[in-house]
Amino acid sequence: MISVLIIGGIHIGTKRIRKYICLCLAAFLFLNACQTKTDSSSDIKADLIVFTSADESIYKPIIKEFMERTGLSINVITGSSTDLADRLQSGTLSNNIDVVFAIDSVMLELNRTAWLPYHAEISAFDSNPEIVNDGAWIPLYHLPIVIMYNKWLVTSEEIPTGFESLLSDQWKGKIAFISPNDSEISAYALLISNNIIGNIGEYTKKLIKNLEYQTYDSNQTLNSSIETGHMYLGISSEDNAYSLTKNNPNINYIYPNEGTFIITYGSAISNECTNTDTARSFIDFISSEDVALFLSDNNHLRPARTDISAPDGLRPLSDLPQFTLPFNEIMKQYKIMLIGWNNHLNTYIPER
Amino acid sequence: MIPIIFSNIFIVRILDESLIHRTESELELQMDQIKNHMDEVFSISEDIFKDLTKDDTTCRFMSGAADPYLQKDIYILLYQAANKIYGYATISLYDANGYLLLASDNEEVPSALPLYWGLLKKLSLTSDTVYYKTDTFVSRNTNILYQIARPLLNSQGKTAGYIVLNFNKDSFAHLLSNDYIASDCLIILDSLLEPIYTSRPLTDNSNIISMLDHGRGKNHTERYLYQSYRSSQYHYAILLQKQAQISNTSINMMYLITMVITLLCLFLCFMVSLFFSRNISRPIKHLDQAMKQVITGDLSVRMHTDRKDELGRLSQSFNYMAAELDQYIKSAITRQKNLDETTLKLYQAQLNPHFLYNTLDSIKWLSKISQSNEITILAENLALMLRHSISSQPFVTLRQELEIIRYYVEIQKIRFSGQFVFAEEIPKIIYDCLLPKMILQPLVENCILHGLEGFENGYICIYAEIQKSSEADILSVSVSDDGSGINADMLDWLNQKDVIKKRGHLGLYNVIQILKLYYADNYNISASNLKEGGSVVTIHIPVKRS
Repeated sequence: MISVLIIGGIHIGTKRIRKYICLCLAAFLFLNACQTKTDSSSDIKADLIVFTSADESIYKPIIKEFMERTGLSINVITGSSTDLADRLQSGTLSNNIDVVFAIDSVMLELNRTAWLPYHAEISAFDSNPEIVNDGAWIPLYHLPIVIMYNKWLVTSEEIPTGFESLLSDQWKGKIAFISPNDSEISAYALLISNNIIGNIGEYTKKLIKNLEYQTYDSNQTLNSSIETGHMYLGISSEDNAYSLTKNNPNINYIYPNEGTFIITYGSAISNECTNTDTARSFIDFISSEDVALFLSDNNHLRPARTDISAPDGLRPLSDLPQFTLPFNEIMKQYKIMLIGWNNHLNTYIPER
Repeated sequence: MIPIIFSNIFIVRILDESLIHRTESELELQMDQIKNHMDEVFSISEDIFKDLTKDDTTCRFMSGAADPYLQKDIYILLYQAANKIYGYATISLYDANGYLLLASDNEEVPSALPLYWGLLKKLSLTSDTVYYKTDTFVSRNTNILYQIARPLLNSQGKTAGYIVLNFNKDSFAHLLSNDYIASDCLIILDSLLEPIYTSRPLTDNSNIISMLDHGRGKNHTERYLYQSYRSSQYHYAILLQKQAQISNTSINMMYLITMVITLLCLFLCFMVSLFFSRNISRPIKHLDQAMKQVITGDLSVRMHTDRKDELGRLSQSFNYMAAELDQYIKSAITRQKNLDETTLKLYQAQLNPHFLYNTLDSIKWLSKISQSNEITILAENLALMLRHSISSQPFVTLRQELEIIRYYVEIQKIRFSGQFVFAEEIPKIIYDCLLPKMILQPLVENCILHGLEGFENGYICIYAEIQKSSEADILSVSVSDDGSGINADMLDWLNQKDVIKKRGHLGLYNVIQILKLYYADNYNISASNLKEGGSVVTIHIPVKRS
């Protein structure tokens, strides 16, 4: 090697250097030829590509059942509603997604032009007549927001009544709350709470203070903190609270008296879907009685189908106090609320 | 260096490939064993279904017939069937509504299965055997991983119930534990290519489908080999992944060692080059510089070295050469100086020689006229000697030299009144040998003046001979007397190599100097005392004839 450099350095002649380089190259190619080629992962195209923001305990059994029944293959892409919104905005949705599954109704409604209308067994649904008639997206289940608490730590006199009561000093540092960056439930809870007190941003500021700037990242950690008594109460979805109360009699939950926000989750076919027949058969399946029954039995969710009852022990939706906001208002406030949350959290100065 | 590097890389590659080939053979063997075991279990399952449906016993039991004998029969049937697959699976019987009726092991089996979902839904769509991977999000309270089931139809063709074989993780571990080793990764997959059983986490999960499609292959990046198998009969797939015997770390280590050795070699080459440069080039350069100084005339230059090798000897030889050259030039200068002095003296001695010769001739004739014979002889002989001495020929024959000696002896006999006898013992064949003129006269004079001083009837003899030798013949001429001999100091002076001028012995000194000038080191002069009295002085010179 050095001899080559020296030869090159004293400029004996480019022919000799070329000879060396050719020799090295030949040896390199020869040695490389000895190596068996590494298998590259083949890009196997599934029959259907589904995007979902649902928990895997919801989407995995449903996808599996569909594949078992039809023999078709599905590739699942997971992400949050915000990820989906970004994909829609950047125009990359149609490239690789055929169906969106278990996406919240705000996202579906505000992007209704992105969906291919399809009238599945719509008559069985009790959703907004506008949605039913339009058929842009199919409602699957409803999910109210609840406040759950540990019965050992929160006496019957102390049980919070609603979102505003959580700002009380007595709950300072005792509320479990998943960051709205990680949970749609938390984001919507924060959004309607701000609307309830009428001053956008004020509730966020006060809640962060009452949380003592501590947040959780998943239902598992939130549940654990309340079950172990590390936290007294927390904001969660109804299905999570219901499951927890089934397994742990010390846990209970209430619907906020100001009115709970009920998130409806649905599905839609992308209007640039390349496998429309498969997509339609998938929509037929997820809107079927079997899936509704399964969601109710297995995931303790309220099916959108009126012919399938909610899980045992759940109050009918009509009995629940509800707080509603127009979709466009929710979407407008959603990002402002998230920015406000992150700003308040980032400007946190620990108290001495 | 480059061939060494490539050879090392090539050897590592060859070693790796041979080990991979061996692992491939092992992998194939293991895959065959796993396949056989799996197929055997599935085959037994089919036998169990046949056993349980060969008559209407099971069907009647599932239909709820309350017959104690029937219950006994079904227990026996179930017991016999469970024995066939004991340790691998449990058997459970469900009625048409999905409620558990009987199980070979109640502990793990769910008490009811939904008709609208999962296994029973799938069974409702077929009359054949169904192979089903349980859903962990549905069957949360059981360890069952896989189920093989068949619907049981009554005589009207309606579903009377379901026969289900349940496999858990331990079942697969028990079944296949001898077919793979701990470092292997074995995955059993269902018809949807969802993993049913995994012996340990896969190195790269994203490639499962790809690996199943390829059938077999290797991944050099992750250093594993794999083989897959799909059973079209029983709707399952096997993927066995085996780590290569040499890990990436080891391969990288081998390459690293190769590189380190290469760098070490480079360093050693550099050091050797440096060593040679310092130990060979530099002394040669110094020698060259010294040689240039010698060429310019500086003979004082010397090489300083402690080396014992060729370069050391070369330096010593150089030093010796310079010293010898210096010495030679100095001696040449001295010799030239002496020659110049001698020449000068000669010139001085030759001042008016003809005047002296003519004067002596006049004395001879005057003495003849006055009849004084002795003066005549003296003058005549002296004149002849003078003539001989001033002749321009440096060499004379021994005959001519003896003639001069005779003149001289005749003069000395007159002077010393014939107190000694002079004799010559010389073979005639060496009369023609040449020797420097006037070389013997001082020796004879010494005998007369010193050897025979105070002696009467002295004897002086000149004898000569030729001594043969392998190199050259030597003329040996000796002058002896029987006088008092030579004293020890004088003997030492005469026999030493480089004589210095001694007062009162100018004649002998001149003889030695003349010999040295003409013969350099090829002469010898020695003196010794004789036992019977007297002394002898011998000159050895190379034989040269006229």
